[in-house]
Amino acid sequence: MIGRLRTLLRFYRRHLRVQPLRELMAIAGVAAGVALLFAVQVSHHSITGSYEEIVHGVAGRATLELASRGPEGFDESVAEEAEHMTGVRATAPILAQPIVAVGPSGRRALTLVGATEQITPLGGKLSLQFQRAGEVSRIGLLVLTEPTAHAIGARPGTVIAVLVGGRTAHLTLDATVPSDKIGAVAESPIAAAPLPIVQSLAQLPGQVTRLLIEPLPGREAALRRALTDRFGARLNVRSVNAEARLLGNAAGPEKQVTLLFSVIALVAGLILAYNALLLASDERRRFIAKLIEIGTPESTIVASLIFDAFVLGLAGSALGLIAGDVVSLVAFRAVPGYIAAAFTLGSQRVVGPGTVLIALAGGMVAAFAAALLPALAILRASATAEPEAVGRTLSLTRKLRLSDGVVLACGAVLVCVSVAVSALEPATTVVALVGLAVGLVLCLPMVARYLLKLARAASSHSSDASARLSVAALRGSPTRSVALLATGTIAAFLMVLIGGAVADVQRAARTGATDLLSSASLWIKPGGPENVYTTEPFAYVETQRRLERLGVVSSVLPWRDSFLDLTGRRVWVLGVPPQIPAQIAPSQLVEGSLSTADRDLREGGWAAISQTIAREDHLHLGERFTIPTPTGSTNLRLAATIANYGWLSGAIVMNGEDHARLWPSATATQLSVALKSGVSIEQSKGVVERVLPGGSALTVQTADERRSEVSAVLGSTLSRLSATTIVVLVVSVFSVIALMVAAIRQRKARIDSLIERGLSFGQFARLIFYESGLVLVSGCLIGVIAGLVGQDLIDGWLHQTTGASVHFAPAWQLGLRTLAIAAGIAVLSSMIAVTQIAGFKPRSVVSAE
Amino acid sequence: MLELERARKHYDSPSEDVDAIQAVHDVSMIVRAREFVAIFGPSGSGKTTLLKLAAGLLRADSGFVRFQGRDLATLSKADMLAYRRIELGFVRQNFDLDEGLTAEENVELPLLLSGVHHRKARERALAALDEIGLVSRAGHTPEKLSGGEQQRVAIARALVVEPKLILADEPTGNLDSETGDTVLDLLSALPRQRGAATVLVTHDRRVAGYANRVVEMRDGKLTESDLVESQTSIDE
Repeated sequence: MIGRLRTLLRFYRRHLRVQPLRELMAIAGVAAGVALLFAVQVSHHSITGSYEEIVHGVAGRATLELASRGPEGFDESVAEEAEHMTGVRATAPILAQPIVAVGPSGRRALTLVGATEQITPLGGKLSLQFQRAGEVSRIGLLVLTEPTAHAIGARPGTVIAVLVGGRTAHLTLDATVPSDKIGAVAESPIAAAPLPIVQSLAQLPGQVTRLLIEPLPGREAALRRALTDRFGARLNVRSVNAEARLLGNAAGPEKQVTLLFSVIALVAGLILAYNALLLASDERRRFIAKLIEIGTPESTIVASLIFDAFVLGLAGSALGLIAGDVVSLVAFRAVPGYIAAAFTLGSQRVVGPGTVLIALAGGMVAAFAAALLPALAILRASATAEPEAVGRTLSLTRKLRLSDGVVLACGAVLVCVSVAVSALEPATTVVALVGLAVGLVLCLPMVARYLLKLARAASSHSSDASARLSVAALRGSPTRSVALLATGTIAAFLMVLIGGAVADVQRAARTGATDLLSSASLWIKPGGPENVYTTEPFAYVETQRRLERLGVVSSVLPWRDSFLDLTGRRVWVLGVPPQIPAQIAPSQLVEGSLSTADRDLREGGWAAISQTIAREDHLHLGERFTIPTPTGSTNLRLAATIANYGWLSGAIVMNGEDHARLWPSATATQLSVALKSGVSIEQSKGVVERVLPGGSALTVQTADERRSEVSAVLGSTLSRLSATTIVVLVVSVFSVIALMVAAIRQRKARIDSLIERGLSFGQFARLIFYESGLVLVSGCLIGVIAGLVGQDLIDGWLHQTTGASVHFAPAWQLGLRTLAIAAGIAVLSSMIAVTQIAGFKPRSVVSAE
Repeated sequence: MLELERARKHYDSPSEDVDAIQAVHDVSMIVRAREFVAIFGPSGSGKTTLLKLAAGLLRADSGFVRFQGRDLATLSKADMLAYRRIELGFVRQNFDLDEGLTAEENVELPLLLSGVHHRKARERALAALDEIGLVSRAGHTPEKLSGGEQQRVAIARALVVEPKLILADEPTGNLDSETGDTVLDLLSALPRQRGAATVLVTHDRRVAGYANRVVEMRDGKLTESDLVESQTSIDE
């Protein structure tokens, strides 16, 4: 056993010595795939993971909660009532309030949690540390985490401006919770203060938004039923993990696309590693032939191939994990705005053992696939090239032998089936796209063959020697040609697929925002981009009164928007003032008559809901449906079905007065200000800002400014994947250049000979340009076309599963840019090639003596 | 046509313990038009270096290498390129054909490198292949040709640009003697018919016998051989 291992190690050392570049490039290829896989996995798990860390950090052993259905919360006397119910071990009331903390050197949007000492027995790590920090100071006011305090430039004792509910209050920073006490959760945007302080700040005396409940052992189910009976009409009775599921629903599309990208990233890594291993396949073939010739047992050769793959997988995965860690830090740190605006999410990275294991397993699979496929081909070639000397072939290679035609047929069938299945059943799109990518790769050997036939026919009518030589070189090295083709195909496929889909999502967000904001010239709301869904209520009456007195103002209307948790999803409720004729943004209408729906909504008692929700509940136009509101379950009639206004979990549009009735409050969440005709919007904005009440924390924005803000945040869906495509691009560029440089080095003697016969540097540069450009641009062209098909499929899937008004607009420009990049890479390859060859001293025209 | 005058070339020693290698030592020789000169000698005698000097691939440490009176050391890059493209033809032991090109395309290649239009290049390539009796194999790639056929294609490729000087390195080294004789017949006849000179390097005395002048090279120095003027007389 040890002896065999020693032999395998000796073989591997020999490979490293003879072909270090090949080994390094193969490791880099696997590492690139693992890095992308790891980075996207970490990025996605960090979203839900950070949320769960915060929830459990606050709730501790509490497993149930009563949650209010609106931002105004519910009476804290409910806590006392619940505490005395059978099966309750402990309860803790909480008032969570979105705030913006402004310190000497920055501002940060936070969730301010107000709690009492009742939270301590629940044992939440986060709660305990905040409590302790507050107790030490003995003042018991505002407590921030150390990173947050640092970000805004505050220290204990610093007076901090707290923007809440459209007002500005000032609080002294009491203490900070050190990062070493709570770990990565310290990155969470969370602050704490005693419950009465938060109630006072929020102007919600005696109100709480959540009641955390720790049941007695074995009593949870019964307690939940009792709580539902007692409070279920007006409050949500649910598990403390329920919000994590709502978050999972909101981030669902991102998760599935992430999965898609992970798999494709791994395929890309495999191709890159495969490319590298092809570089020295001739040399490795000779080596294996030699081993067979001298009677090395078949089992030793196979073991050597497996050992090589194992080392490649291990080294590539290890390097990939390190690189992936860096990529996830650099490219994926920020939480997508559209989710962060609706959930309290930290920017900490959550790296679970599962993520590491998946990345390692992926790296191993890629390494084995990449190493064993060419190895088997080498074995086959060794056997068939010298049948007399070898006298036998390895049975495994015979079994695996498939003609290019069969592979093409399999690939073509896979492509067609993937596209057809996805078109018929959009829910399968993610799997179908993986199938499409794999099918494409399977088609490439045959595509390459015909492409080169065509190129040969074309070059034979050219007077350019470089063209003819480049086609000859490609034909002479079909595996390298396929590798280059595959690299271009996969890179372009990913770029167009992801880039096109992201652009469509952003376009949908822009169109929705334009429609939504078309009714007024100025918009007023608390806070900045973190309040993009305008769900933060503020007392508006005084502000409205002041603005209406201005000569430039035509009307000031209160909007009342909020989030509402339905089963499994958090929906965005828009309470549109009945005075506005277009209650539904035209671009968002899916089913129904716009004019009729607008009229019904203005009348009251009607609502428009996202088609995805209507479809789930089998609702038809005109039918009654029930939604849970703070005032109890309410019946409304379905006026129209709509898209989702950019919030992936769905939206409900209702008359603002219905909203005020169902979410009883004298507050609004934003004001729309219509100006008199002919007045300057910019000047009016200044006038409006000047008449806002003193200490106001309201933001005045023009419709254009607000549109940009909404578009930027709502269009951030999938946007992080754009960063990943850049990584793919960079890796592909390096891969292609490395392939070309290695190819030049392998053909050194041939190139020397051509130079000796009068090939100029210019002709040589053109040769490399044609050689890399032909297959790369062709590969990219195939990738672009497949990417456009994929973009259409992914748009359909997003529309189907989220109700987003995403429409397919072929990403031609992106496709053209991708082709231009491919041409650029070919130019770069030729420039590098010239520098390579410039250092060569041409070999003699004669053989060495 | 080709003149070497007191040409010297040495290679630096790989280590201090070993003396520098004098590959070509004070060599003077003249190759005239239509002349077929064989440089005969054992391995390590310097004949390779001599051919490199003649092709302009190496620059002499001292002395001169002239082609048609022009010192190769003074040629510009463009002139050197033109010298190699138009004036020289190479024939190698390993044929050195491009595996991805057909016989006809291999022969066309030097013409295309020189900027000849592809139609004209094709005509001339086919004519060259016809001349060596391989026009029927024009569409075959090298792997489908025998060794002798490959070398004949290589000769056609060398001749198609109508060079004034052919440099041949052990052109029969990879061929059996019968095939080798065919190739040598071509090499000795065709260039002369076109007015070109041929310099052939070999370690095989029988091969050298095809030349009309043989010079022997030992330790970097030339000595006239007893095989001199063994064949066809020189016109000039």
